[in-house]
Amino acid sequence: MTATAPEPTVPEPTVPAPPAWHRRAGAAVRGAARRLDARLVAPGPAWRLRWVHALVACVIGLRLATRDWTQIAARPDALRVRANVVGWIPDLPAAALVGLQVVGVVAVVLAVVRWRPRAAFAVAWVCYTVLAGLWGSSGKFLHNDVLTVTVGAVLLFAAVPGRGTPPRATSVRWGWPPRAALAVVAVVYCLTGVQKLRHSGLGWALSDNMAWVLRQGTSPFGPAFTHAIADTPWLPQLLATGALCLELTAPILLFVAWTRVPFALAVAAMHTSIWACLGLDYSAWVLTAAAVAVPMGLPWRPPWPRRGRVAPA
Amino acid sequence: MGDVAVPARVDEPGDERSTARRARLVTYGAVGALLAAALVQVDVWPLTAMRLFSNVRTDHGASTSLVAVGLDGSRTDLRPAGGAILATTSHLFDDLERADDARAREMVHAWLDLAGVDPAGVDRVVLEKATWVMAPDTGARHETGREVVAEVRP
Repeated sequence: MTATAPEPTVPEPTVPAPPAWHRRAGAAVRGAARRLDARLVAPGPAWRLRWVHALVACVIGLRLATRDWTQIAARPDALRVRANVVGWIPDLPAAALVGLQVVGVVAVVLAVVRWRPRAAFAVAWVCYTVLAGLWGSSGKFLHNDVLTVTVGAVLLFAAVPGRGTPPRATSVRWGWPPRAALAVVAVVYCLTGVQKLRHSGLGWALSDNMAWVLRQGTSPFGPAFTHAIADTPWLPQLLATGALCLELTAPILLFVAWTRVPFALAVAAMHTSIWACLGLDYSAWVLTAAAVAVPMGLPWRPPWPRRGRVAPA
Repeated sequence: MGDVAVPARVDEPGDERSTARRARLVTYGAVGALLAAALVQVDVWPLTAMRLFSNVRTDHGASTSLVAVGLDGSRTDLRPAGGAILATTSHLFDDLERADDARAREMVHAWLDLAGVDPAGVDRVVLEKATWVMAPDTGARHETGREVVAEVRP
């Protein structure tokens, strides 16, 4: 047996305590997250979900009904991009595209009149997503339908109140879907602003950027219209700063109930000016933002439908 | 226009818990997916990095054009000749630089077909990149350079 020498004791390294402001900030963030979470799963009235569900369905119906989807059939397979969620779907003939369009529109009508609204909405969303995805499989990433598809995806999981449910009845089931849709709209708009700052900095708003965007765009009102705006001192910077501020503050404007309707109006003004100056149609974004933000911002229930029957016990 | 008397809440306690679980899964899942796509710059429709006009524009720019050069030396710009479908696929022009011969020929044949140009009368299809400067007062673009970046024989 050999005797072992006692090991020298190594003092434990001391971890410095985080500064007080750090602890306070952490507690504040955790508290805010808890409050947000509590608001998400709080009960909500049946009428708000019905309105958001029906209005988003109407946007889907409008998009489905007002586009000639058969143009997709004219695209050669060699020029189709398959790196998206509809990449696995084979090229469809014009008749099949029209079939999807008709089924989708009928499903929208059924969802709005609340005949099996959940299944009808799902059918409409699938038809719309397939058609919009195929339309956008030509090389250029098309954002026009992205917001409607994403908000619709969230509403697929909503348990829609039945016809017999009184509008003012509340439930956790009916509270979260419109709030989730609101969160999606807020994050999408905020990200469009964040990406401008990330890739271009404040110069995106404060430099000549917007003036050159206007000069290089194609306005339905002709080049004189956009050149007049581009050449007016400070007006392009003002427009760009307004757009950037609206996008970045979307989460706040949609969090506060009374600024939701003004947000929808501001979004409509922004996208209308984009259409007027550049000819880009983002009407689906305008309508989707309104479909979610307006019912969530109204302090009173719209007068239609007037009354609901008493729910069965 | 008063509503009939309604029950204040229609939830069962167990029902509430499972609904809250679903609410969190869907909401945080959707928000997380949107944030992740933006962070890693993914553009797989409908997931997107949300880069809408995020680059700064100046008076300088560049554009690409696909030109069919006939056996007689005539040049036909395929983009305006091809209509809306060709216009939507014009973002694939740049892929010609990286495509192998078979794939490049396949794409070029498709564009010639859309533009109504007979491949039998075409010697080669060239992808040209032009740089330009725009005059702020007139909006006219003045070409500052042009180079052929890809050439395909159909």
